[in-house]
Order: sequence, then C-alpha cells, then structure tokens
Amino acid sequence: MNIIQCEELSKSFGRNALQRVTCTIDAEKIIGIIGRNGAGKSTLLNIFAGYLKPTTGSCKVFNENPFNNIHTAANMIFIDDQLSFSDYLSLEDILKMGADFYPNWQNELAYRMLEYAGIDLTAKHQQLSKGQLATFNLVYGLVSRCALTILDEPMNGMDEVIRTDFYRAILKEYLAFPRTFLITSHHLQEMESILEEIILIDEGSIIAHAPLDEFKEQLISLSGPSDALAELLSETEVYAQKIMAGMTSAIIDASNLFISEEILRAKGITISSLTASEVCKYLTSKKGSDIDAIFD
Amino acid sequence: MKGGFSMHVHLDGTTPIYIQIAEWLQHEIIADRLQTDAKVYSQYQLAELFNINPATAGKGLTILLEEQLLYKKRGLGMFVATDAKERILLKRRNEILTKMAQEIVLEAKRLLVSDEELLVLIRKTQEGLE
Repeated sequence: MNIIQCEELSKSFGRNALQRVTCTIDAEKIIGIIGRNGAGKSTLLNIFAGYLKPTTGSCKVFNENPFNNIHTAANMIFIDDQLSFSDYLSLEDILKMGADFYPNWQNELAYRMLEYAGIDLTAKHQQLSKGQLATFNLVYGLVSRCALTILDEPMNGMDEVIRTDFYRAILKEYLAFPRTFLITSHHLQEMESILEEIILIDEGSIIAHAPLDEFKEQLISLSGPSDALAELLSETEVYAQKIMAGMTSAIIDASNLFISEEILRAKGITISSLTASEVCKYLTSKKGSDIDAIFD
Repeated sequence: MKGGFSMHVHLDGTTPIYIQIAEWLQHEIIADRLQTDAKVYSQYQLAELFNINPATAGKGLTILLEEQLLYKKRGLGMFVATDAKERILLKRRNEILTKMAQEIVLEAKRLLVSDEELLVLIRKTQEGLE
C-alpha cells in the first residue's frame, strides 16, 4: 500500500526548486530524505504536507490532493523549526489542544518524554531554548501518531545525548504504532540504522530511492598501486579519485566492476565499502570537484 | 527511554547491518545460546535490541532462513534447525579461515616474511594460546 504518489511534480519560485519528481512512498516505513542545502527537500515535504501547491505535475497523499485538504491535515503532522503555537498557551495547554485534534494522541507519553528531557510544562513555547524547542516539537510529532509523520531536521539544536535518545524514541514509537516517517537530517550516520529506505535529492530531482543497504552497496572504493588500477579505471566512470605516492584510491559504481576480488587482491588492489553518507557525498558532488583543488 | 539499552553491532558503518545481524545470530548458535529447535528472536525483538529498522532485522533473519539454518512455523516464528551449529562451523572453516589465510600469506609476502618464518609465527601463536 502506498501513502504518497507524485508524478512529474515540479515547483518553481522563479528558479526551479523541484523538477519533474516522480515517486511513490509506501505506508509504514521509516524513510530518510537526504540532500545538500537547497536541494529541494523542504519544498517536497511542504508539498506532501499540503502547504505548497506544485507548479506542474500531480501529488496525491492518501489518494487525495493534499493542498488545503482537511483529510490530509488530520492524518499528517509536519514538524520543523518553524512550528509555532500561540504565545499565550503553556506547553500543557498546547498538548491539550493536540489531544483534541489528533485521534491517536498519547498524552501520558508526551508527559513522560518531556519530563525525561527536563522540560517544564508550565513554560511557554517561545521561552524554550533552541534544543528544548526542537525536543518539544518532536515529542508533539511523535505522540500525535499520525499515519504520515514528517520530521524536517527534527534534531536541529539538540545535544548529542538527546539526539541519540530520540532516534531510539522514534524507532520505539514506530514499533509500537507503525506509520510512515519521512525524516530529513544532515546527520545521516546518526539515523541510518533506524531507516528502511533512503531518498536522495539533488538539485531538485530524486537521484536515488532505495533500501538503505542497496543504496550503500552501489558505490565501492578501490585502492592499490596506480599502474595496476589505471587500466581498470580508464574503462569506467570514476566518482572521485586520489593519487599519492604511486597509490591510487578511486570510487566507482559497483555494477561496473567485473573482476573478482581474488584477482584484484593478487594485484594488490583492495575493495572496500562506503558508508551511506559517503555514497551521498559522491553521488551529489559535482564530478571532479574536490576541496583540495582550490588550494592547488 | 530511561536505561534505553541497545547493543551495538555497528562495527564500522560499512558492513551492511543485516549482514551483521545474520553474523550475530550465527554466533549465538555457535555459542549454544540458541540451540536446536529454540525459538529465535523476531524481527521486532531484534529491532529493539539493536536499535535498527525491523525490515533490516528481517533481512538478517532471511539470510539464515535461506541457508536453512532456521525454519519457520506458521504463526509461531522461526526456530533453529537441526545441525545448524555444525553447518555454520563447517562453513566458517571453509570460507572465513581460507580467506584469512590468503590475507596472511599476502601480507607476509608484502613484508618479505619467508615461508619458514610465517610457519614459525603460526606455531608460536598456537603455543601462546594453549
């Protein structure tokens, strides 16, 4: 079953923020949305949430157009650092309102999580520190138990201890009450273990959408004597390359490697895997671009 | 969340997590903590235990199921197959030890260690462990 379907979706604010995005998001999965600053992540999430209208193309959430749609609003929650509540309400009052609006709301869990994080319920939303604000907003998003939970940089401003705790909280909440989570973060490494899939956005397009393991395995790193690698690398696309003292290491597409590991090893070439965030980096950086080149 | 304990299988961030889960389960079988016909953790228990996505945990279990180290009872879960331990040990001996031996021989070559020296080293290591 899918929960979101978009076809040829484009959004332009003068410049093109999204270009012909086609994707399907399954129900009840935790999906990481990754991309560089300005890649179009937030624009896409805002369209899913019904806050923005696509310029062209279509987007369906729960089989309906999400824009200004009350059905979407009742089954979806969007958490980011812009989330604001009335200045006159205490956190306790805000939770009460949440309980009135969202049918699956878990008030007791909200109290327990906020107590754990050391947040005073009598405080006003705008009195909170940056980290506390992010924590409160995330708790609000978790206890609403919406079928579609969108978390845009939910951990921004939180310290490392609380981030680790709350990634676990997301997982535990998901196990207790499966739903679709779309999470963006600049710290892929911190959250990758709880993800089922990853969507990589670059310059307004989705350039990868796959289970995390498959995503990680698409690129590999080869390193060994430069002369032994030269022939192999001349026949394939190289994503990045470093040469030093007669040794080369290069990143290539795993599907372009037709030689067995044993044969490579005999030539002194070793294959190693990359982390998910390294794969993201190589897939989204301009070919041949390298910070070192600036200093040459 | 308090005392939120989770084990770490995150060895290096490059080995796929589902493979690390499959290896951990095999290790539990070798160590007799999971014996023949014992019920194996569900994908949800593994997710909770290792702080990972349940789909990833499910992939780890599938590996063992495909190798027939586990069997499924409909509605009841997965269980350790007869001879699972013996077959894992045999496989490890064949695959892992062979690969490690290759690496040692290659590294010895690079370091200009002679065959005799290498054999002496292995013998000495054995004696050290006995």
